[in-house]
Amino acid sequence: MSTTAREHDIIIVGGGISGVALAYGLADRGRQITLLDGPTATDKASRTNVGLIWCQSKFAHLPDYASLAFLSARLFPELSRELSEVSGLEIPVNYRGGLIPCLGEEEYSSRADYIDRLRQVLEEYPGEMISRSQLERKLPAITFGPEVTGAAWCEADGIIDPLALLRAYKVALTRVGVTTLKTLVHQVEPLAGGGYRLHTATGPLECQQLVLAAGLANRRLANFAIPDLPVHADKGQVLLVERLPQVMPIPMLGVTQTFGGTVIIGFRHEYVGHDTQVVPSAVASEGQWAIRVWPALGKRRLIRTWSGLRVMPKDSQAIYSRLPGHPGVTLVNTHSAVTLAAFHTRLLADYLLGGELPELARKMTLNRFGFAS
Amino acid sequence: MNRRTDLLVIGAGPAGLAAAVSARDCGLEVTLIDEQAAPGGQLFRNIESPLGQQALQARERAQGMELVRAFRASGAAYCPKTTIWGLEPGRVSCTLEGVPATLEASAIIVAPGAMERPVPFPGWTLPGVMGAGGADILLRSGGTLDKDPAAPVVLAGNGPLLLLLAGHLLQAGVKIVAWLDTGCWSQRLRALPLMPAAALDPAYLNKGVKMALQVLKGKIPLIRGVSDIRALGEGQLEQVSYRKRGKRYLLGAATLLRHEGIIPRTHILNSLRIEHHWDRVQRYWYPLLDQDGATSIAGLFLAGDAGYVHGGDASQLKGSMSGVAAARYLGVISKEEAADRSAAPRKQLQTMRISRGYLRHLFAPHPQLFKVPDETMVCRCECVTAGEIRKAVAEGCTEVNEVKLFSRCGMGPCQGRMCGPALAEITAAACSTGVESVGSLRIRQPFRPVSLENYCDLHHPLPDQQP
Amino acid sequence: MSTPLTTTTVRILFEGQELEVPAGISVAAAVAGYAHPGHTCKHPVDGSGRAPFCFMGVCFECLMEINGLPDVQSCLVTVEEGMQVRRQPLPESIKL
Repeated sequence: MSTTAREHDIIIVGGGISGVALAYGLADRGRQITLLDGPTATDKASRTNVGLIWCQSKFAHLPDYASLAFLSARLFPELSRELSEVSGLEIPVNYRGGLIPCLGEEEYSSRADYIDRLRQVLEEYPGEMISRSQLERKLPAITFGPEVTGAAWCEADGIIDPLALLRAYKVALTRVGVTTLKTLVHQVEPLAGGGYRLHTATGPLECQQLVLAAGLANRRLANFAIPDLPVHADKGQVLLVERLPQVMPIPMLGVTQTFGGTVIIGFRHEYVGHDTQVVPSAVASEGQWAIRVWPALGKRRLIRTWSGLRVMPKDSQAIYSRLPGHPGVTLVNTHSAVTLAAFHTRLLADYLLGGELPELARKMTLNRFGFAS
Repeated sequence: MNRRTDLLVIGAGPAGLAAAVSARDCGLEVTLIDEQAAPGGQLFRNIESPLGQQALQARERAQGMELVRAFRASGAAYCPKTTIWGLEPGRVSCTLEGVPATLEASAIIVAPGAMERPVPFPGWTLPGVMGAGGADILLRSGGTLDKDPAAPVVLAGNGPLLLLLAGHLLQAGVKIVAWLDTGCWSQRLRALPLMPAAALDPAYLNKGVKMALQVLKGKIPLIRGVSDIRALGEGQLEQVSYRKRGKRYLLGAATLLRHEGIIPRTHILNSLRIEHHWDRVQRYWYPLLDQDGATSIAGLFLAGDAGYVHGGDASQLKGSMSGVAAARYLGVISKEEAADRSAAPRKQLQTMRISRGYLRHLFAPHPQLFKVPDETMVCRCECVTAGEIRKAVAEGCTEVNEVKLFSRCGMGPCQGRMCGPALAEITAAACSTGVESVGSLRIRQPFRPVSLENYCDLHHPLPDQQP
Repeated sequence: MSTPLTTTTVRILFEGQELEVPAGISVAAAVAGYAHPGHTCKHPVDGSGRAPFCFMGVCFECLMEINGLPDVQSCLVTVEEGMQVRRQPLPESIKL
């Protein structure tokens, strides 16, 4: 390998939604930003995503994290408009709220209890349980199965075409002066006199400051400082049903119509390492649930199954942190990269440049896992 | 019918039928499943009916009828009208006469055959434009290309099937107003040094010469050096335009039949992540197999043109060999017996491959074949144009699966069967690189759409999780 | 199981028009080769008329409604006496 490394100012490793969102947020800070994006064959969580901007019904035990989602969702409309303008690309998006369908009375009441708890811890919560007939009024073109008792509804949710978002970010980056290099980082080496050398598939690169936003690959890249990053692969498996007329003006969790008209079914979480084999019996259980919610789906044609690996921090909460002993390296890991994209772009730049974390994210460093920063 | 058997054969073309016959000969329990209603595959389609028989030359007809007869007599269980949509090692998911079913076997031979290389051009989605192979199937079904059987037909392309089809069309009394030859002469010349070997297989050469003579006798106007073919019309093909030596020409036509060669059908093995190689002359991917068709997955074999296109009679030999190899894999016959049984077909196949080496160059696709204008619809399912593919590349995509994600090319129900080759060629050209380095589309099961409830009913679900 | 092909014929209805076609052929071949209908499907994305292209299960351009069931790859279905075949209905008409 060549020993003459090119010198860079800030390098961001990772061309997924997290990486591009962070890079775009840094673009107007007068720094020279280089983004490194790995080849398609590597794990790419951002590309197996439904695109929900999802705030509701999660993280009652981590109120700050729950609030972060609401905050990011509020920042989204203005961001997606800007990205569309800068990139010249349309980004299909819908901010009409979100629904979680419930089967049976028991599920309905436990969901209701959870939302009550959230309302208590968050003080303000823009969502509620709605009855079956209210659900039917929200999605009048869908005939629900007899077991559907109602749904959880939240007006802050939405859905965005995740590939269009990623594409718009990428094109926008070229317009705001961020350099993107296609290469795979093999290893990060701290240099004695400060700075870092990245050994990549296309030769070495050096930088002063480093942002690791490479999803599961962060475990490998950060291991010069942390041998066991508390982030693991969370396998999801999905079914794709053929294109239908647009009947879901408000997205449902678990069975979601895309902007192209196809329907993605999936919600399983499995901890099986890097295995990405689609298990027919596993996706079948997701399909059967979807048919109970929406029986007409059973007659429609399944055209694909696939699986992907979510990037899951050990406690499910995002990690925004300097690496222990390396103030020049910032690590970002979250499994809600779409929902939090607006937060990442708009409110995280100062932190990446050496400043403080925004108030809501203060407790999201690696300190919570016992690492000293 | 048994749901569990020694050997499952998928496909009732020459390779599948021969595989079933030879495996039965070795004493295996065999089930053969196939999409069509009757055995024969594409080459011997409808061969048990007069319609299918009259479409073939005497030698081929006799060969096909004998093969189907041997298959019918072999005692292999036969499931026609069966669509397979899932395959895991040892297990196949399919719709058997309308009912979803899982079949299990200790060994599986996949013999999906070949398909026409889909080549997009402006207007190719218009009714009236078809693949030559499709038109041939229409004729073998006793139908006509147009309400008026004398309506003008234009043939275009380069490949052996076009010759065959022209013969069939002449026989049916169809008026062929032009044959637009898109072949590349500098490539064809490379076939010359290999041609003397053709004498090793005189019967095959004879067949080719006969086909050519028939076409010559039919006096089809042959127009050489054609490029940039376009189909024009309002809701229906009305005219064909093309370029020759920088000048554009226009022909009135009711039907345009395009053929640019035959490529292996690789969907099943691709979905199982079997390694494939790129043939730089014929410009297609083919799977890595051993000499008997064994894949890198134990107990899974591939036979016939889906492994590499050598033609129907070669497929039959490959099928015989893989049937024997499956019996050997199951330990039913000894190594020596397997070698003994495979010796004759192996030798024949070798001769065939040498004697037909020139075909690879003679019918090589033109290197500029995929240099289509931006407005050309490449993905028929998602209506994605060549321009949109080039735009995705300009934005930084360097691999076909990446282009697919950002352009939707290949995301429809056919899973890139129709656009995959063009997507790869256009991406490679836009990246100024070779097709080998832009990859091939990753195929997902089900291979064919299946109703959600059929899929779920068949795969006994795991205990519930909820969103 | 299957019946070998003979020259016997069956009658099917395409958009109400009776077609007498050889037994054993595919619905796509029967419609394209005997009814000459122009398009058999309006593409849901761009609204253009499409017709069977490959006749061997590859292209998905031959989708039609067969005996009331839409989205059928008609080149993979064998004609049967009395079969009712129609052009692929527009997606908007699907009951969900």
